[in-house]
Amino acid sequence: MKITRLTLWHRDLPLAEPYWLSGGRLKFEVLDATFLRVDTDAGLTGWGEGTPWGHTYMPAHGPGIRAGIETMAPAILGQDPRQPGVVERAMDLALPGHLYAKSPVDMAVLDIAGQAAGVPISHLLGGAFPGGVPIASSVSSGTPEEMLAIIERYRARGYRAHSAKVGGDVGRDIERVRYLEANRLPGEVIFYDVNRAWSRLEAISVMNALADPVLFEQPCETLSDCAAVRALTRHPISIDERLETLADMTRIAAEGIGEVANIKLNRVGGLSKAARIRDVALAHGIEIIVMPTGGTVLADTEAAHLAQSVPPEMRRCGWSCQDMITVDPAPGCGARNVEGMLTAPDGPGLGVAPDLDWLGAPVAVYGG
Amino acid sequence: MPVSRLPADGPPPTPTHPPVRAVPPPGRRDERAAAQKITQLTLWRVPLTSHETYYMADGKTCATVDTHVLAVETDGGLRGWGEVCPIPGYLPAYAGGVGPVLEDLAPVLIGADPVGPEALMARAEAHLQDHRYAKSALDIALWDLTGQAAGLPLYALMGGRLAADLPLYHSITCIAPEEMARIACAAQATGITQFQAKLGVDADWQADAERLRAVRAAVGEGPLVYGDWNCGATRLQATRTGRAVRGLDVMLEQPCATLDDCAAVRAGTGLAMKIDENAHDTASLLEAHRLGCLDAVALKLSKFGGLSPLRRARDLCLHLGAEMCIECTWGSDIVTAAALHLAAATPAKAVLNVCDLSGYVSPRVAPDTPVRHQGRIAVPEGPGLGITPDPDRLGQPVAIID
Repeated sequence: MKITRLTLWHRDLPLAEPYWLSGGRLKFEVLDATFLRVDTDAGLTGWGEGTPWGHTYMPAHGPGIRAGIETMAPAILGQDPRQPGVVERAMDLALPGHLYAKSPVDMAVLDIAGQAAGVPISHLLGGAFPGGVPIASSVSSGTPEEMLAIIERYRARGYRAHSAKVGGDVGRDIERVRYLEANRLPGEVIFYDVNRAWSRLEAISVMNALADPVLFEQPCETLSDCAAVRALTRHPISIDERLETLADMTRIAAEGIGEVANIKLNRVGGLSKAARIRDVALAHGIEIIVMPTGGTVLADTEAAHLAQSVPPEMRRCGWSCQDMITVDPAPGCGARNVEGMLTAPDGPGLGVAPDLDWLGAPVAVYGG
Repeated sequence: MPVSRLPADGPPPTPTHPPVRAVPPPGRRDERAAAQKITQLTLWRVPLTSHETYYMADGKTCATVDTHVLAVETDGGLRGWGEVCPIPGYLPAYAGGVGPVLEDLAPVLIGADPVGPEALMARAEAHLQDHRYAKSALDIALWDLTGQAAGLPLYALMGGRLAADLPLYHSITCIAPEEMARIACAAQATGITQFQAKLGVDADWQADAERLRAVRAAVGEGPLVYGDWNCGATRLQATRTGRAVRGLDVMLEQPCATLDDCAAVRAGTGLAMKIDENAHDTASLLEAHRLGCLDAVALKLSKFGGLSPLRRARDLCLHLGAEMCIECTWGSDIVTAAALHLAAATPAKAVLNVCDLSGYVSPRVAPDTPVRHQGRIAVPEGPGLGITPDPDRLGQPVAIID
């Protein structure tokens, strides 16, 4: 089987409400999404999605995905999609780095490989463990009362896990955490996502002011910063933005920098690379969060397949970005929020494809 | 966003850019420096063909490589030039990524004051993180504008001229040992005293040892000879080669893909080490120093993101005691000139060498850029970069952003 054609679409995904990160430093209103269809000479077709969280959050932007795929296209065309590792290697040779441009290709290739084998992507990644993954809400930064109001809206939709965005002023952050912890329901999980906003000093100041351990995500900019904070705090730490490569994961594990690894698929370059990161985390007793960087039900479903391959006791939570946008390319299909849980589809491949009418006209076609 | 991409076979653009760089009169700096606003960015994609096809390890080659030339214009009538030329497969950088990054940055750039580049580059970083190779061209152009607005050459803004000219190395493509020795002799006849032998094309550690022996013998005692694998060797193979030539005066460059590997090779061979691909920001320089493998380092504009971060890296390397090769990955006169300005403002004993990249390729984009003379190259004079790129040599622009 050979890959014969790559077709790209670009769609903007409006957020249902404006979204603030890092104590108001960054604002988001629309996400630039790239959809990729990979066609083969066997008639099988696979779908990929690449949706960075805007262009200010990580070194990734929608036009860069499309330019990257254009540059890699000659190396991808003609490859056998049932051998994802060979396609991955061809991409890495054609274009070092630029992981975010490779992830939609890897996703579409695994979609085809799964269809060819008649199994869901989760099986190709090792197998589907039982149960779903708890969906974490994404709670925009605001006053303590505003943030609790958002959490309550998510509670009404079945959510029992929440990622509350902090990372502004030290005093206000302490206030936010105390207020939300005081209003946390039994059995509910809230973790506090700093998105790199604190200096080492600010992180220690906030953490030392809080007696009962809560999970903080990516408190500071670098792994060295997080390690320095790790040495001075009893609070567990999750690493998110600075987990990009397998080398990062091995360092986090070897130096004990974090107790939780947040694997964002578009950031790490797709499912194939993410599966290796998962293995190192599991081998070191590090719990796993799997999330898309953003996107539609396609990106959520991709993440759900990887989460399904993580043993349930190590599966911390996931995310459903589809709940935050106003459009839906595949109504009723793919991984959907059921009582706050996400479960990967059990049909062959990815298990969801976008509606062609919704996609409109492609922006680029490579191959015959 | 008013971005127009011109089709490759579209109508030729109106030639509005005469290749003129007026030297401003003295004594009116305040007026010239006042109120510059960026009005337009023009981007060209120019194929650069090597005079001699250049072979590196793992199948990387430089036969014809596209460079991107950037002109940034202001309402004060200034035009600053930048350039970046990613070698395919060499680093996390590619030609196709340059245009989309600059288009994405348009809302930050158009109408902004280019004088004092680091302030505007910080805003560009907040708008779109990293993509440093594309930002390198932009940063160079902003420095060119700043120098023109100040009426000063960039070496003056970088700290002042400490050398009138700088030593060049000659890079020798990885072919048969005797052919490499011949190229070394030809370069030596022109005054070159530093020789970089590319290694690893055939993944044969003995052939690589023979290459180092042949070049070392050809140039005699004294000149600097080093072997560069461009990440293409394993620890084992690089150590075998290094131990085979450890009695010779040679340095090794970036044998393997990681700093840990390079440090292991240095420890296993007892040979000095130059780091290239793994040195690209402050953290990586500090890590290489911590591992003890930073005897020498390649400070390349496109790896770090332009003159602003390269200047910071230069200052750090002075402190760390690493000898510096100040250059770019590939390209023509603009990157050559930009690197020369920084090198000329760096203490001579810390400058290992520089590279006349524009001497390896054609066409030349700014024919008044200094060229190799007796193994050295002069730093350009005149405000900003001090060179005059000629738009007639660039073909049609691929994008005009205004």
